[in-house]
Amino acid sequence: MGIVIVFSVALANSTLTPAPSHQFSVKHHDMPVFDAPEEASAPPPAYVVTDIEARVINDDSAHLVHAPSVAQLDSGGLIATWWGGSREGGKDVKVFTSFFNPDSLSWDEPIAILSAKNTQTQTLRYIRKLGNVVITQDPEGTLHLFYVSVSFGGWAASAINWSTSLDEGQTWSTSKRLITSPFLNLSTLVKGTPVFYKDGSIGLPVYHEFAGKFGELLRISTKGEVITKTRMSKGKHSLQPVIHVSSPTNALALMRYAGPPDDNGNKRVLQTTTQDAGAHWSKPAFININNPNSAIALAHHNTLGKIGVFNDINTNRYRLKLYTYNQGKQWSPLHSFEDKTSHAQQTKQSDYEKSLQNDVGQYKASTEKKAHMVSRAIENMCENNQCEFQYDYPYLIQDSHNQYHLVYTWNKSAIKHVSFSLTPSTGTKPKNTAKVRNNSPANPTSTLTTENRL
Amino acid sequence: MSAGIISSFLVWAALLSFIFRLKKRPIRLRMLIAAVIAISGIIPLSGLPIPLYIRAGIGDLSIVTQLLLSIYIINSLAGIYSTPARKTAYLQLCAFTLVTGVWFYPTTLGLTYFDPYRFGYITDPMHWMALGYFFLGALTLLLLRSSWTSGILCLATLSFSFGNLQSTNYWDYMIDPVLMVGAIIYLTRDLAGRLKKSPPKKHPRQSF
Repeated sequence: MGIVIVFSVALANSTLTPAPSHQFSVKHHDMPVFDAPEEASAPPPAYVVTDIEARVINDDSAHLVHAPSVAQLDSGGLIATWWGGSREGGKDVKVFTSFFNPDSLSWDEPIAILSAKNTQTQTLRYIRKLGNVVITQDPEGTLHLFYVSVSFGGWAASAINWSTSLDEGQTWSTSKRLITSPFLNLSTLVKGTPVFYKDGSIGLPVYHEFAGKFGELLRISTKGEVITKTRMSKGKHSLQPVIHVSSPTNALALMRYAGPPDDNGNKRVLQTTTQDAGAHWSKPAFININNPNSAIALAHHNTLGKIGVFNDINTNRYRLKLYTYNQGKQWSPLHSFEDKTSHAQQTKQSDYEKSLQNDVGQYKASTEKKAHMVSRAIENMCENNQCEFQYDYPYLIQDSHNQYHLVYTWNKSAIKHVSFSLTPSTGTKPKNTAKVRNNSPANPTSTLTTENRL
Repeated sequence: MSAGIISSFLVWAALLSFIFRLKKRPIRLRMLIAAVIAISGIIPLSGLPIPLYIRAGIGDLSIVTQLLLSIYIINSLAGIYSTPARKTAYLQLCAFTLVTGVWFYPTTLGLTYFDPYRFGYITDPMHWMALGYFFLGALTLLLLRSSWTSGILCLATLSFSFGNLQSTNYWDYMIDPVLMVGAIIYLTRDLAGRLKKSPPKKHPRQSF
């Protein structure tokens, strides 16, 4: 009798709990053309990348920096986060933030907001190192920071922590450990841009690296409780999902591929889709972009539907390219942010230095900072007079002015921010532009239409 | 603070109780060792009590494990030995844990698209399946005259209803890898003991 009562109470509890929303929150007003078949007959104009500006976000306090993410703030600026320290997995690794001032068009001095030590104090358990970090702002204006920490072992033993800010990143709440795995809560990592649901909950794309490598979508309440989760892939070859939401129910996710090459020697990006707001995902399939087991970025475009940034090669990460999704549902390259194809093999240190000096000359940064970037890159990427170029971990958002902000790791030594626009090559404005909310920087209460606030 | 943090202190106390063979000591020495164990659990080592290092490695254990550890520590302190009937009840619970772990962990660790861990969330439409699984488990144990271990499953389920752990997933209240390993050790020890006690089989030729 007692058993029946106890389990009936538990069942009643679940029955009385309101079900989470089964719809994504889509903030961009313009549905992608390719999700609206009646419009598909009118081909969108070709686009070109314009208004490109490159900046460096980090200072020289960390020897090695990696895994940046960025979010637009309601006040109009940007906030970027990344981790930095003496080496990957070092005990001294800290999570940094920096603010982009839309008036001065420059990044403020970075602030170290989290360390292994203070995460240990906050989560009441030993923490050895910190890792990937992702930031997003919810529709209510709260900033959510999800970051990885490890107590023992490598990245496969990671867990996710969550912290929030109610004042746009000035102060942060005590970190809370998210419980996401039944196996000692081991091995859940973040990389992809979070999405939102209509009930305000957060969809956080995560991945596992313990027994296998596979992607999942965690559904997290604004109180930092995991509501549910969905498997996006299985096995040992897919990780770091990034999601593009195209309608309240439809989304596409791309994943980094960690498996062997195909018969032609190619490794390609994996794609999966959902038609029920992430409750179920299709079996992953390869798309026409190569992937050297490296991270991917996706963002919304009001006419094209989606754009992405990829290391579109089979090995190494010396090229970082922007792709657009065209009417034939194929990805096409549009612009190279970094391309060292001519130096695909290892480069002599003198040539490497010259090439980097030439590159940093175009960035908006002080001469001292540029020189420092080059010397750090040599320290991090050269060995025995042989050097490698590496541009990876892209993270892309669309802001309220339809401008894009791409952040990525530059030769393990800098966090580079590239802002750009996509303009129709005919010189005319995209046909849907008029529908997009016009959020002036002068309006501090403006709301976002960025990818990460879908 | 969730009840999860208690589990690492319970593991530390149970481990030391086992190492010092607390149960077998005279009452005064037992109390002295118990005091030492209690103090050792709160002395910081590089800024953190030792149990919080254990917590970093194994996370927050399930309520079922926490109850079993509590029973072990209390028995050790009081010098109580389990009756054969109680031992049988624990064996049955261990067998149930082993059967559950064998299919549960491979699937939740990415072997298949099927992820039963998802059913542990109260908002999942299939949540009743996770509840139903442990209801059948508790009912089976009860039918096997093991109300003690059936009660442990019921208490863990009740604890889930109250949200005592940081986890919002029902499975995290009912099973964990430490419990699984413990179940394997308990079953193996029992099997080894049975094999040892059973009279040696005589080979037909030995009669000659």
